Amino acid sequence: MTLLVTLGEPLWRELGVREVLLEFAPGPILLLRDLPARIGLTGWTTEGLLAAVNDRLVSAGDADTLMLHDGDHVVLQLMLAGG
Amino acid sequence: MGITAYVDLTRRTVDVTETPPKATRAFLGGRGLNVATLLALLPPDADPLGPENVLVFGTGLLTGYPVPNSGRMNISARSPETGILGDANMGGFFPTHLRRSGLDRIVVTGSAEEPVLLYAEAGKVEIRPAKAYWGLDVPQTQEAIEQDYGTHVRSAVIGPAGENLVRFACVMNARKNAAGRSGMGAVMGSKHLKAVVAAGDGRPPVHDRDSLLALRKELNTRLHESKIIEVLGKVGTPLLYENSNRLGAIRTKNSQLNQWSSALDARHIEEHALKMVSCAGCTVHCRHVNRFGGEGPDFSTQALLGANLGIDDPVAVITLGNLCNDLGLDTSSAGGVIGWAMELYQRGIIGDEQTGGPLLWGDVDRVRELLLDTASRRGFGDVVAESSQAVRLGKLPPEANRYFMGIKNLPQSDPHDVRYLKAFALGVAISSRGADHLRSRPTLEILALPDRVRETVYGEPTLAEMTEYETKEVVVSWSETMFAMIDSVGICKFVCRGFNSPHLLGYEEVSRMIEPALGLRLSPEELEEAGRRVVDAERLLNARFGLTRADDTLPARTFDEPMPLGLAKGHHIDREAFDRLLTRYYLRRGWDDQGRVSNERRDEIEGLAARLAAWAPATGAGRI
Repeated sequence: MTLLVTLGEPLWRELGVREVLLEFAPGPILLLRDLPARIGLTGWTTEGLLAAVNDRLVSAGDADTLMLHDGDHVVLQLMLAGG
Repeated sequence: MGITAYVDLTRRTVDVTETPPKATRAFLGGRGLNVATLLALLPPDADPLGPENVLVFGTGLLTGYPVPNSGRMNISARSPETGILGDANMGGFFPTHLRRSGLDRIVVTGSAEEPVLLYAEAGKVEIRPAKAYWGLDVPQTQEAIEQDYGTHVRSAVIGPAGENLVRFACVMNARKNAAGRSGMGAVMGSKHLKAVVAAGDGRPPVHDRDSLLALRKELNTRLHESKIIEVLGKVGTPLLYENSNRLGAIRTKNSQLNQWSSALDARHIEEHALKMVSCAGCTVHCRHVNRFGGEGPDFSTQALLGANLGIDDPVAVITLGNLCNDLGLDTSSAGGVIGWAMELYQRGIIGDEQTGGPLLWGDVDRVRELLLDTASRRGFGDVVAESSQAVRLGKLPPEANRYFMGIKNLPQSDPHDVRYLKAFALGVAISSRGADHLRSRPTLEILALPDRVRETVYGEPTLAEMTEYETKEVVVSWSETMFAMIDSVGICKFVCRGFNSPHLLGYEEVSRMIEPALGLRLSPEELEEAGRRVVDAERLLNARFGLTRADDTLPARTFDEPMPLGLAKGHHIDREAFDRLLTRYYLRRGWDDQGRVSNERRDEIEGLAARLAAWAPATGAGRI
């Protein structure tokens, strides 16, 4: 059972990798909300990030209840406004 | 409280007077007092490039005071690019130097016969000759001024683009700090005003220094704890490129596409960066110094001189940005107008006989040549120099308008394609200076924050779904009011609540700064009301220029062509839903369903602006 996490800006800089492959025992894996801490991103929560699961954007509100599953592909990144 | 210098370049007169306190309370400073000044003094039929245009250099209420990120000011006039409100916000070190020169604002009318500069020191302004600087580019001008006046001065200057009345010429201080949008550099050029030089170390008097410094320490600590601030200080705004690109939100080839090469990702830009630098009093440090002798690029430059032109070489993007800065060209309009011209060439609407040769996507050498030609108004550069006005002036055929990616004649500065997020679309449509995200960008929308967080920020329930139209008027009008306030006090949006985070500085914090800084009590509610008043004042000014509901719209492509790529694929703006959203936005602002400010509000604002007119000397400009 695997979960692929792609890290956008600036998260990949903290871990030094673009992708993280998590392996789990069979069954539901974990809440999206808990993913940043699980992969070692400190100081970040899904409330401050943009998340997409299998190419669908997930609101920060839904991250609290969205359970990730085997084979899911999660993208985590920051969104800001710039000048 | 507040000193204004009125300069008439035709009569060669300077009058220095106190800014009316009631006007300051009502409009704060910066962007707010600037638009009030235009309401008071600018004839509605003023030629933007004529001597009757009124050009205002205005520091914010807190510019130069020891509070976080208070290094900004606004430059305003009738825009030669759009014909409506022209207004550009600028950081760097000139704004604080202008305040330290003992002046809060300089209002310029008339036109000099020969090139001049304004020298501000110790509460006075002198008109001095500047013929020796005419023809120099931006760095050359700044260096020559430093040689002649000393390294203690800071100058806001124009380059050849401003001298040659390019409609998107900007005003520059230092290498990259630009009052970029809406052609304020061309207005300076039309007045033969090459520079404003500010000297002096007269720090503004602080009412209660100990309390203010304690507050600064508290707020700086809070800002430094923000992940947003930390990231902007390390990577700068180029980090947005990769993330927006993954969404399918990078405007590419004049918005025909919405994704582009990863070769422009921040990590590739950083390979050519030497260090990060900041504006005065900044906690963020968002700007790169690049190894090619310039600064930047920021996100807008990165995408508009990159993806929008089909260019995927980071070195090319950086050096094109440097070139724009040296010539005094707004990179947003430069990328927007050249991208527009490239699509017109692609479609055969214009041809080699007009362009002087192929105008193809990704042709870096051609773009570089065209930027130089634009600044000098040579060949096809003379057409580009007209920006959106090229059609009205008969230099481009009428069918070109269909492919213009701008609003109210201003090319869109934001590289973010607004077809996906409906609040972003409303924000650029109603922006008072034309297509621009810095007036009302509700960035929090893209995070779709939990209900409880959004309700805390906006004060009422709103819909989280970013692709829906309902309640987007709430987040746009909230952001618009907040940003009008923050622009008017001279603080950078990067530390403003709502621009990138719900946890940064808003009405409460600014209110706490103003009392120890100025001895002036302005409650959070009064600051919010001032923000609303500024938005209403800009609406009134634009109404004088003939703007109506029909102008609060989006480029045809936004409605008619779904986004072709990425997560955002298939999204577009529905005309009827947008129309209903626009009505709800108007009513929320207290306007009627045609977007008109009420007569009572108009009378209040014009009455306040009239105080400025009454206090101003006879400048030769009009009066309300």
